[in-house]
Amino acid sequence: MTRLILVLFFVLGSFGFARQASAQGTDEFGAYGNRDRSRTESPQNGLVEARFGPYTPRVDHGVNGSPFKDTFGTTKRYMFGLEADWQVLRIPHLGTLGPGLGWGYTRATGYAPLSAHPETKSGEKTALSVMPFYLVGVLRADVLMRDYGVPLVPYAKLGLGYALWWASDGGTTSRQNGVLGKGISYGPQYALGAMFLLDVLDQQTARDADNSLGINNSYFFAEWYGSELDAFGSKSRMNVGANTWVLGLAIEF
Amino acid sequence: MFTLRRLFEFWALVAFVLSLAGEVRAQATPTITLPVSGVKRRLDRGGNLLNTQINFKDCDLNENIEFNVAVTNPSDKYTLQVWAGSNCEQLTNRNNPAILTCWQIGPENLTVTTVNPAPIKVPVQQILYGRTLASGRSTGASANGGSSGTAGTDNTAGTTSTAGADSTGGGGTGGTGGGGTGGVAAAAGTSGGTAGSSSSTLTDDKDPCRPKDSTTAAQNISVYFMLVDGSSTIQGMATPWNASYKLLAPAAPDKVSADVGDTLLPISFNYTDKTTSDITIDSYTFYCDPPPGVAAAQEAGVLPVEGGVVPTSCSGIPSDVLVQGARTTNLDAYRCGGAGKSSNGGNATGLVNGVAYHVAVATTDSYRNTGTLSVTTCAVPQLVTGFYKAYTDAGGKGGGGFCSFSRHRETFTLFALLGCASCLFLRRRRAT
Repeated sequence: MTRLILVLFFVLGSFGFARQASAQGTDEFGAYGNRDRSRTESPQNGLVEARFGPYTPRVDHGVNGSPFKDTFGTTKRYMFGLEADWQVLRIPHLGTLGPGLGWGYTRATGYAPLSAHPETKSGEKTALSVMPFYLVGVLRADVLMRDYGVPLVPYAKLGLGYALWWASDGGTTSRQNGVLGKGISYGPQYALGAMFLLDVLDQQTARDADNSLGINNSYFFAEWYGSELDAFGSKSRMNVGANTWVLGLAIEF
Repeated sequence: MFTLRRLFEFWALVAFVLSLAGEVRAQATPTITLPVSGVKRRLDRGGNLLNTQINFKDCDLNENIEFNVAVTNPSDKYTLQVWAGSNCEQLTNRNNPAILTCWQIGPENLTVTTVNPAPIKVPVQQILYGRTLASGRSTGASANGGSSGTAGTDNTAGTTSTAGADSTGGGGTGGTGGGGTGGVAAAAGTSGGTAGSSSSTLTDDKDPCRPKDSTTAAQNISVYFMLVDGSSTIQGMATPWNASYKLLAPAAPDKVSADVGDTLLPISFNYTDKTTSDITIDSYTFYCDPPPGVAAAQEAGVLPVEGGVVPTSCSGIPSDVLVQGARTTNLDAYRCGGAGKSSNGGNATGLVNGVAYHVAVATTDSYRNTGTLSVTTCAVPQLVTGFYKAYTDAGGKGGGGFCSFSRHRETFTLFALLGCASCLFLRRRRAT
C-alpha cells in the first residue's frame, strides 16, 4: 500500500509539474501558468480534512492472549474521520501553526463463539466500537508551495488523543461481572504527513473556488499517525490506539 | 302620465316582488358541513395512526365513530341521511342494492331542525358493511345480480354484529334478513335477485371484519352526510368524510430461522416470493414459546436444573401455542422481540439458556394490524464468549462506563496534561 501511495504521489506530482511547465508564459493579460502569488487570495484561517484509512486497535497489547484477533479475526478494519484546524499563526517562509481537533469512528463486528465449543461460532453478534477524539498542534510547512511552486505541503501533528469505546453483544452493551463494557482511553497522538496541492491540476477552478467560496487551496493527503491510547501505560484502560496510515482530502479556507 | 291607478299598480308590484323574495329566503337551500374536528374516535389512536384510518381492531371492537355535523338553513322538509361507500352523492349508487356501492348507515331519515344536531354515532362495522363478508359475499368484485336478500332491519350496532344481511343471495333465494344485532339498515334491498352473472363466491362466513376481497392494501371508503327531500334528491351538496380501512395485515414471512445466542436467539426471516412482502409492513414481531423469562420457563417445566443435562437442540415436538396461520390476538405474553420494517432479522430476547424455544414471526402494518403467525422454528440459547468477556478473561481491566475516572484515580493525570497544553497554547497566543 505504501508503494501505491508513493506511485500515486509521483504520478500526480509529475502531472502537476508537467502542466506547470507546459503552461507557463506571458500573454496580453500578463503572466499565466505558474501559481500567481500576486493574485488576490481570500484570507486563510483554517483547514478541514476528511480522513479514511485502516484502523486496528491495539487491544491485544497488554493482555494475555489475543481477544481482539480471536473474536474479530485479522480482517482489516477501517476508520472514517474528520479534522478541523485553526491556522492561528503564520510563520513567514515556513508555514502555519495552530490547534487541530479531530474525530473518528470505527467498529469491529464478529460472531461470538459458543463458550462450550469455542471452535463453533454462534449467531450472536459481538462488536467493539471506538470513537477517538484528539487535540493536536499542527505545523504545516507550505513554504515549498508558496515560495518555490512545489505542490507539496509536509506537516506534523502532536497532541493528546481521547477515545470512547464500547463493546456490545447481541445489540446491547456488554457487561461482565457487573462491569459495563464501555469506557475511555487516552494518550499521546502524533502524525507525519504530506499534502499534494490539487489546485495545480486546474488553476482556474481553484481561483473560482477561492473567489466564490473562499476556498484557498484543496489537497489530497497521506498521513502516518500513531495514538497510544492506553492512559500512558496504565493497565486499567483498554488500549484502543493504533499506528496506521490514512488518506484524505483537505481544504484550506 | 301619473295617475292614482298607476301608483296602486306600482305598489302592488313592489309588494309582489317582496313577497317572492321572502319566499325565496324561506326556502334557502340547506347545507350540511362536517368540521375537521367534528369526528371523534374512541379507541386508542396511538402511534402514527390517523383519525381517518380504520384497522381490524377498530372493526373487531366495533368502535362508534362520532360525527358532529353542522346544518345551515335547517328545515323539517328534509331528512338527514348517512351513507357509506363511494360516490354516494349519485342517486343511482344509492338505489342499487345489488352492487352495494353505497349503503345507508346510522340513524335513518333523521329530521334536522337545529343548526347543530345531536352527534351521529356510527359503528365501524356499519361503515364497512358493503366491503366485508357481513354483506354476504367474498372475493366479491362486483356482485352483479343475484344479490343478497333482505338486509337486516335497522340496527342498533351491536358489538358482536352478526350482520343483518342474508348471505344466501346469489342463487336468488334471498332470504329475509337476519335482522341481527349488528345489521345494516335497509340499503341491501329486498329483492331476491336473479342469479345473474355474479362472479362472487358465496360464503356462510358473515365475519363483519373480513374484507370481501383478499387484498391486503388499504382501501378508501367515505361516509356521506346529506339532506334529502321526499324524492331522495340531495339538497345542496353531500358532505363526505373520506377515510381508509385496512383489515388484513400483510402475510408473515414464509422463511424463518433461528440461530444461537446468549439468552437470545438471532432470528432471520424472509419471503420466498419477494412480491409477497407488503409495502405497508411497519414492523415484525417475534413470538416465543415458552414465553420469555425465567418464571415462564419454570412454569412450563423446562427450566434446566443445576447439575442436570442442558439441552442444546430442540426435541422436535411442535408448539401447541405458536401455530402457523394462527392469530396473535391473545399472544401478547409470548412476545419476545421484533425487527424494523426494513430488516430481515432481529433478536428474540429475554430467554433462558438451555431452554428450547419455538419462535414464530408476525407482521404489523402501518394501520397497526398484526397478522397471523409464520412457520415456527426452534433453537436453544447457549452461553457464548463475546468480545468483552474474552477481553476480561484475558486480564483486560478496561470498562465500567465513560465516566469511570474515580474507579482508577487517573483524573489528575489527564487534567494535568490538558492544563499544560492549554497554558502553552495561551502563552503562545499572547506572544503573537
